[in-house]
Amino acid sequence: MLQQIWNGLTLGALYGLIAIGYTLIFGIIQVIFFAQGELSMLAAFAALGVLMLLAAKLPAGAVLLLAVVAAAAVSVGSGLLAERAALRPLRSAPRVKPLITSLGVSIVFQNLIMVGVGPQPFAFVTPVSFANYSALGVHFNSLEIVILLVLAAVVVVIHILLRRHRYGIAMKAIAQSRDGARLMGIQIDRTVVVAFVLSSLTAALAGVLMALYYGIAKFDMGFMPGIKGFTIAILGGIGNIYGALLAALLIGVSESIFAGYVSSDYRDLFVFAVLVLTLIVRPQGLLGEGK
Amino acid sequence: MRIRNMVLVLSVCCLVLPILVGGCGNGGSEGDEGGEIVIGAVAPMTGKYGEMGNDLLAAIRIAVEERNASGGIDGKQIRLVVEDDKASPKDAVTVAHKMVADSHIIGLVGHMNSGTTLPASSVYHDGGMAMVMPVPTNPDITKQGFNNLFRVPITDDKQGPACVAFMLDKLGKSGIAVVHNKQAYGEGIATEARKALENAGHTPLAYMGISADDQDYRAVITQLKRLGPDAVFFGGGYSEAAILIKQSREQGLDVPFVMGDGCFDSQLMEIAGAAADGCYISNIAPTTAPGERAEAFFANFLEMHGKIVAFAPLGYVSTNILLDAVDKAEAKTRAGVLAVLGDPEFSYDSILGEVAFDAVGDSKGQKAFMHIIEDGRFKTVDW
Repeated sequence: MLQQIWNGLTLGALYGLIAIGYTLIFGIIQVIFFAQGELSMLAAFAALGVLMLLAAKLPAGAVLLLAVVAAAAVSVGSGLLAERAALRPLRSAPRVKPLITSLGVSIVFQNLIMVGVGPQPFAFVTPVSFANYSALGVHFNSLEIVILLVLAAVVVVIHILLRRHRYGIAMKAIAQSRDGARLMGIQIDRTVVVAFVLSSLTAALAGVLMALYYGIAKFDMGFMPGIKGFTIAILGGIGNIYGALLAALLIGVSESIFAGYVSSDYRDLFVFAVLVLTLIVRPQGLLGEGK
Repeated sequence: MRIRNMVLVLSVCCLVLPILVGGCGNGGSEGDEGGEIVIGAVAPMTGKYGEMGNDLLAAIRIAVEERNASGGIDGKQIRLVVEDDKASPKDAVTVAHKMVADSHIIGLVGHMNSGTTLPASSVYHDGGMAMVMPVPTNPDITKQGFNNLFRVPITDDKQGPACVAFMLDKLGKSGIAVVHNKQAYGEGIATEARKALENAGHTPLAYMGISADDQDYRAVITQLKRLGPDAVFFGGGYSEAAILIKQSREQGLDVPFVMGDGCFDSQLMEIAGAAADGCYISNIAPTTAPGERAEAFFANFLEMHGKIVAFAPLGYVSTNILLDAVDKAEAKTRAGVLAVLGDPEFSYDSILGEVAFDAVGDSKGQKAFMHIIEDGRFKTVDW
């Protein structure tokens, strides 16, 4: 049982990193940007490219660092491109339109990699090895701890940003009233770009961690985590960072326990049934929609 | 107007000329090509499966050359006609018609994919030509009621039971958990494995599915650990298998995994790394085989082509079966060859053991070749 809880926490942390991206963007422009999972996938492939090119030439730590930088660059670049091309032109259109275009973006990204790189899974060979530990009957490794620490760090950074930083405050202002914020001299487009940079960065971290953890990169690797991240963002109360964090860990743990003790065949069905039930009982999500 | 006429004349020429030229080639009586015996071989030579197909054809050529070097059949040399079906069902049918139309060809080795063999087989059946099938494993092929099909490899539905027999008899494991990837191939082979296990009087410790979309199988692994199996049978593709094995080792589940040929891919070792060592994978072809003749073939093939991509030994065996049937046939015709292969008494002592065919044309005592992963390589296990 302890093992399943630990499994669930680390799984939830990966979902959570993606969910935070959904929630950040929704919090500002009230649009579900569906391509979060695909940004993670692109980031993983960027990191894989760096590993394949440089693994033999540089020390492991440097390669890993470069891989993370490349992943972040590709993810942010793609995220901003998608925002500029598929969302900004529709800023004042009904919300269902940017929803559809962002779904289109996610399919475009998947197909680009499937056709351009290949449909088969690619081995993501880690340049550094991670130590395995065992305590209280629970097996865990250093990468799982890194995953949890990264999630914690991301939440803390975003928390501080939203409270203290100019852009964070601007984001909250836009979320409350876009017109009001514009009248106060807040630059909407620039602030939205900052939100996309942040959400692309969290997606990149999720992508590299997933690839490192599972040892593969595949064109559809972002799909299921993306859908689950989206579910979590809704469950936690979309737009609410802390709601997303809580929901991610809850979903991760309950999914693990369900798969371990009830049925692994129906684990995805379980997750989405929880989503439907929660929304019926508590439509605003666990912690309420963010402001 | 003039251009239209020219186009018309050209089109007519294009249509008529090949018929005239092609018609001339078919003049001779069947099978009698002067001092030659002609057999056909079809496999994909280009496209996604080109590498596998060329590997197969290379072995087919070796078998023909060896036979010619030792004097051919009745003093006649053997000529091989090779065609490319591009692994496409449509091209396969076209190529099959071409083979059947060439009356000198008295028997065929091919095709390679089940998807091409299935539609092409009815063309060969209508043409009365025996097909010795080196690779196709879909059980439906031999369920068509044709008398011209002779399949060398084990069929898909027998592979799960073969893996179970291996686990019980060779590895001596009986506490077996069965895991599959919820897809047609994976669940199919896992269901057959479960049935075989139950027929042998054992209840699987678990029978569960994992999702190929997921990459986190730790929940399942933790449950497996609780059940404490001696071995795990996995039905699915190599990428899920690799992740499952890797995560199992990280979680401290150190029992061997046994898998079907869907996992026979060196990518598995690349993704799982050293974690895959000690796992077993069955395949329709071996990477090595015992015996003097087998060792000579493998050494010769490796020297000529560097490596065996996939099914080369099966190409060699299939060609030798066809040539043996031609040798034994009284009349060196399609009907003569078909009669020999269709004889229930027919058997051939190949480098991979005795091959004989049952009433529908599947090989008797279908054998799966088990491989162990050692130092990141497949090594055929003798059993």
